Amino acid sequence: MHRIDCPWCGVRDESEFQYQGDATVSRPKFKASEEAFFRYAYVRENPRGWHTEWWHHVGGCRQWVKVVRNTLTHEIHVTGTPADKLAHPRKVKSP
Amino acid sequence: MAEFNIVTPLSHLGLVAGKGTSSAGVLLADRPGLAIAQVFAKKGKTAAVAKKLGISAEPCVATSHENYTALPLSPGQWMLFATTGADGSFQRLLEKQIGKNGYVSEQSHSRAAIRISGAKVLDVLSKECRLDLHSSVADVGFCAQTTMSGVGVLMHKIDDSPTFDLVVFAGFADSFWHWITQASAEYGVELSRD
Repeated sequence: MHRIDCPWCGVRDESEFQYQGDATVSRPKFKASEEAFFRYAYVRENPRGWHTEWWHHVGGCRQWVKVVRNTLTHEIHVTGTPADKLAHPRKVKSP
Repeated sequence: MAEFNIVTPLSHLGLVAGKGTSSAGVLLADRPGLAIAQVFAKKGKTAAVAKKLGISAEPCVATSHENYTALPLSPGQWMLFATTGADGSFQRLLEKQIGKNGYVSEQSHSRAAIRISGAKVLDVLSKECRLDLHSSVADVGFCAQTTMSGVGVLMHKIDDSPTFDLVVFAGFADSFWHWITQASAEYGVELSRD
């Protein structure tokens, strides 16, 4: 179970949030190729380790939260607003 | 002239006013007829709206005003409660106060407010509420949106006894009432309405 630090509400239980996917992809321009849109819609890195992702605080303030989470250990390194640029920790932790 | 029965989300339960002398561990009261309005600040106008209404823009802290109570929902959004004005006059009053800084949405008929008090309040809430409600963390005036029993709840700590107001969507009021009465049953529960 995660405890996620919502920038507005403070630390809240995971049950108040919905996972909303990879926060590292951005929508291609309107006239981009079909290949670019295919990659945007379907292709993900699926990293083993640190990952920047969207969580929607749907059971709380209904804001979107950017979260740097370790997919291996479930550790949450940092959270922020959608506009924040969040860095991963320097050393990748291994179990 | 025809007589109208005002219907509120829990009025079909036929609750009557409590005597205030109950020894039950939990007291649950439906609070029908409140005037409720949601206020939205326009972009960059959060502080202006807060100032016009005399309320705080800080998260998780209720502002009790002479005529209304404001609970912050998210950046630039509040839910405001008053005891009169559910006919729309509360909404119009707020619109007049904030002017062009934001918008007001009438919600009196879309929410049900339930007041919970008694010695076993925290025992009941802790069955579903994931927030830390200890008085060292959640002081009087604490408010938050969370989920309990799968229902979105706007909660507000009224006093240190403790007493909480739980505000849910009208359509979920029956489901939520069912859960909270069942969860309270083991402590002895008195049901009433304001």
